[in-house]
Amino acid sequence: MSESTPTLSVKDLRVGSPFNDLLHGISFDIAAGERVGLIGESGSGKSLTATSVMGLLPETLAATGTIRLNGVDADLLTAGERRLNSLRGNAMAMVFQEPMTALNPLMRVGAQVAEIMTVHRTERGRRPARERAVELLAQVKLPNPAEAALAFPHQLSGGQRQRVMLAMAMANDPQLLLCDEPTTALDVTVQAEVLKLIGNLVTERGTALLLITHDIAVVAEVCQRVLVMHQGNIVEDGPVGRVLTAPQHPYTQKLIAASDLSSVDDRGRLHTMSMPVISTQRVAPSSPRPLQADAAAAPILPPHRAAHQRLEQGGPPVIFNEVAGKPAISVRSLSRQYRRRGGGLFAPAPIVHGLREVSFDVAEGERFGIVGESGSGKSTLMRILCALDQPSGGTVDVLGQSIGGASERQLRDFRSQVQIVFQDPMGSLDPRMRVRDIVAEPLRHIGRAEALARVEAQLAAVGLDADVMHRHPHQFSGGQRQRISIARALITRPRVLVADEAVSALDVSVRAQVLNLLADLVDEYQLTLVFVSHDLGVIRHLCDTVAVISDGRIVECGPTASVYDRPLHPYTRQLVSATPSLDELARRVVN
Amino acid sequence: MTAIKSATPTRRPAGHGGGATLWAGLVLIGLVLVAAVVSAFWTPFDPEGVFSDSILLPPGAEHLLGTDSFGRDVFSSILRGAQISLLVGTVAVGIAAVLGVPFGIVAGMNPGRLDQFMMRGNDISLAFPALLLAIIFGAIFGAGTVTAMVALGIGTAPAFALIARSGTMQIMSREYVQAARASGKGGLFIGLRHVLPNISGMLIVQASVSFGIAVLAEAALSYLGLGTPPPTPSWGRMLQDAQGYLFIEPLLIVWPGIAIAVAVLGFNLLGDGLRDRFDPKMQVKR
Amino acid sequence: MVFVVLRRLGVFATTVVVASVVTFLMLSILPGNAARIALGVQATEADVAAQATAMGLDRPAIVRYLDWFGHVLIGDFGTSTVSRQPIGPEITDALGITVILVLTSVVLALLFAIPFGILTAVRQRKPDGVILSGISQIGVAVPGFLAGMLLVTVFAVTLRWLPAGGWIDPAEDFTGFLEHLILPAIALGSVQGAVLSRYVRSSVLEVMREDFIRTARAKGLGAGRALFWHGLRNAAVPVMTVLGLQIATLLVGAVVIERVFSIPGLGSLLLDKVALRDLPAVQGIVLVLVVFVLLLNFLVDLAFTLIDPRLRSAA
Repeated sequence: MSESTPTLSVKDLRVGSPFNDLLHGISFDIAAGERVGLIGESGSGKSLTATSVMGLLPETLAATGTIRLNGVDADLLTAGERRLNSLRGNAMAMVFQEPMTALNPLMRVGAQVAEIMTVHRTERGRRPARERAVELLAQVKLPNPAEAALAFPHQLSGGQRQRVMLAMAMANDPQLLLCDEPTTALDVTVQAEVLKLIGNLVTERGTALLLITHDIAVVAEVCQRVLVMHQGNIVEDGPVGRVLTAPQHPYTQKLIAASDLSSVDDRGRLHTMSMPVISTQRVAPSSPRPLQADAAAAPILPPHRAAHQRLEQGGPPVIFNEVAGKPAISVRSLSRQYRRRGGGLFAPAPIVHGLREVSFDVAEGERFGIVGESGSGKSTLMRILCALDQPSGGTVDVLGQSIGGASERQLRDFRSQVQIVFQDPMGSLDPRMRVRDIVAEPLRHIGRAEALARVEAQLAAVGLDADVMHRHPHQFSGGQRQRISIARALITRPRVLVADEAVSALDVSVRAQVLNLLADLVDEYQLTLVFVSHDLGVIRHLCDTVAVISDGRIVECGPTASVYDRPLHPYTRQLVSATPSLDELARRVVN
Repeated sequence: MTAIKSATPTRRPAGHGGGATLWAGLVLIGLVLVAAVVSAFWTPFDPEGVFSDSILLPPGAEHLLGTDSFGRDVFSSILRGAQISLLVGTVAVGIAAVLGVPFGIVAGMNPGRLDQFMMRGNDISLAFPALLLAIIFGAIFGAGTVTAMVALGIGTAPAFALIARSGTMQIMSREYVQAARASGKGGLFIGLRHVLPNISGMLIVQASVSFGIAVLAEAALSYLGLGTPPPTPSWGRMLQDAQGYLFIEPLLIVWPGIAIAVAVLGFNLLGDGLRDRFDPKMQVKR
Repeated sequence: MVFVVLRRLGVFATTVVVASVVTFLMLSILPGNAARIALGVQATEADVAAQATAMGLDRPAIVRYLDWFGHVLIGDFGTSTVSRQPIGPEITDALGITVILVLTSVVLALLFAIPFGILTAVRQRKPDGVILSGISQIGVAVPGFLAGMLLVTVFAVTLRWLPAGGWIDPAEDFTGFLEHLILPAIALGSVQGAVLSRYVRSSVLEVMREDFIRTARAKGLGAGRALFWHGLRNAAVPVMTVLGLQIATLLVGAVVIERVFSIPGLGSLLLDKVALRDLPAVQGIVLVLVVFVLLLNFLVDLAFTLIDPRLRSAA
């Protein structure tokens, strides 16, 4: 490697605003054809690194150091706009995270791909450029490339748009391809395909790759070498196999430990990055949940164990996870159709099937995971279980309360028994309310003083001090907000907790902490947990039983380990292979 | 659903937008407000009489801005005229907000048929602009300050309804609203406790912009003789009086013109400044 | 695509009907007894009753509405209660003048607003951008009729280049027509142009922050080319919405401007009839104005569909 000049050479790159420094002098090389991953948590400066290389930093930021591209005599940081324009999209190209917004919505995708060739005059004239665009779309495996070239972005799926972005980026055979979180917004199975495509394209053409991501698995999938970034510094640089199996820097060690949802400490808890600050001194709930009379009197049943079943193609509907005795949740032949927006007063809107013929039970005290991709119907199912939406057919019983047709008055008890924790730590707390009012919101018929006392106790139970009560949500980090959400959900002492992608928006380190907290609280409060997620790993760690949902149907359900190790349905198999564990990745990389 | 935003640096610290614009707006509005308050107790001359010995005097030491065709001191009329502009603006914007905001919130909280129906109604109201409505009301009930205020208020309400609706729809998709619903909170609670506080920023911006429009409309109505009847001074009618003397004393249209522009500019700048401060898009790109 | 247009047309027709009902309610039902208004307060009860029968007021409201709107559809706006003349021809003559004035102003406003708005957006942080932006702010704050008076003061009173008011039919004397059109059109167009340029500016600023502009830059397009090829069409979408909403404002602006320049358009006609309290005439004029607004909105909506492919398939 040392004998030839590197494709990209970054030396002592510093980026800062007038107020603070964001990159503290980072240096790295990428050799020709080398595939390098750049990994770090949000705010670590990884995206800034890529935008610096492309010369697309926001005007308010200033950069020093040198960035050299092989074959270019100028330093990219000081080169003029005209020079940079001739390099961008030509010698170096970039793919961004958001496939929804990164393409011009008013322009056909073929024309957008062709444009990059006419701009750099790599194809003479419009017609050859368009023809070449169709070829490129075929190379990124877009079905019907000639037709797809005439489509507008909104007519394509997220994965397809990202393929278009790749076709565009590779059009002029760049020496260097930068990808910033290229698959983060995509479903896991699509992510796996797009990653494979990126890997194949750069390998075939010998393009050097810098892949930016927060996800170690993505790096392991595609890259040879990995750079670990932390607070504006590169803290570790090495071959992927070595970094995965024997990380040297303490930060990398913690990052990898926290990412690994299959490894736990001797207390069955995930490894976290900042060690147990809070969880050791947790306060027990102030008033234990009143025992239900019938629950106390009920004979102790043998512990429920889910049967492992799948839905056969064209076969009869299956009742999954059938529970002997009285289940906490019982769903039979649930279907939900809704009219798509866009219909008006004068035209009937098309009908969309959200859920079809879904039947399953959840036992009291069970940790039940629901895994599926976007559009699978998992959110609709979650909303119906919480009585935020009504079934169009079938029956749904939660804690003996029938959801279908129930009035808000009938649901009053139910509301305090079933609570939700949402995904978005930004959107789930009202920015105009103080934490005390947010957490107290579900309480009713209770004096102010008592409410405040319960809020304080509940905040303590999720590991937050009493003085947070008077602050507003924007003063907290994502993880802290999620703790506040959990406190709000538990303040009524519910029996069922529904979590909707509750850790998906969090950084790896925080994710492990919140998962540990959730697991503890579920035990302590003897909750029945329904955990909805796209992430099989998270569900595997947290849940006893998992249901896989696809296209509005449960296709497979059973004990988590069994589903994970011996998937029966082809869709589950695809899903499992798309989300390998770190152990497996390390094995693959090393071999 | 599974989108996880990677860290994009905040382009600009939140809550510090619109400084200079905001202050410029406040200063101009302050000027108009001072004129209105001071003129309630004192003006250099009586702005409501007829003084045949001082007709069409040029600006000078005694009459700072000269006198008009009735011999009234222009400076005094300008000061007093601020009252009617602010009064009409305040009442019209108040009526518009009271009518439009609940309408918009109800529509935004009930997507589907009800929303579509209400919004079609709103579209039709938009085809009757405030000024046209004021002219029609003038024809039906006779011209006057009250007619003008009510008509401008009703005519401005659809704009508030549009803003309130789009804001409400954004807020309703937030998870904290879902959480409130899951805790059994009803529509009224959610509307008052979650939606209204969170859209208040954009409503204040709209109120500020609408205030400027109301001041313009009042001036136009008075100019047409459908606003405040004489002898109460109003900037619009000063312009109407001055038009007859364009060939003799063109300066007479300049002073009320400047007064109107200052008031409207003040409210527009205030609106812009507040928008920069409130609009999340200007701060963090989502 | 054809289906979308037909559907829009259906919505447009319904809206017109509802607007006519609203107009009828406001001007035929709300004021009370039209016969008394027509005759004045001194008339005796018997005279009023006879007049009401003559005007057909003793029929149920729904019949009166259908009678009125049915006749409007064939161009008959009824008879003035003051002049006893048919209203239709007056409205038709005046409408032609107002349409010419409004459309000329829209074109002038766009010609000014688009380049000016883009310029102030692109030069946002530069001194010239700030100054130009300030000028457009002041332009928004000046009432159209004041702009008209200032133009008259400068170009008619002081320089004596152009007439201070009046109207000449283009068929009679085209140069004279243009001379009489130019000042009112500029007065109306400049203020609307200032308003629109603010929207163009904010729309362009918004678009410049879009991800696809960053994509275009990453493709190697310079900032200017990226904005020109990818930004402007996208920026046009919200501007069109505003233009649709502004049309109503522009039309009432025309009402006032016609008064300033003594132009015998719909606005002057409306104000004359209002002064005479000739409610049947007012009702006809208001309906024409409102339908004109709705028609222009409908056309803007259609143009939208042509610009934005996302709307074409959304049936």
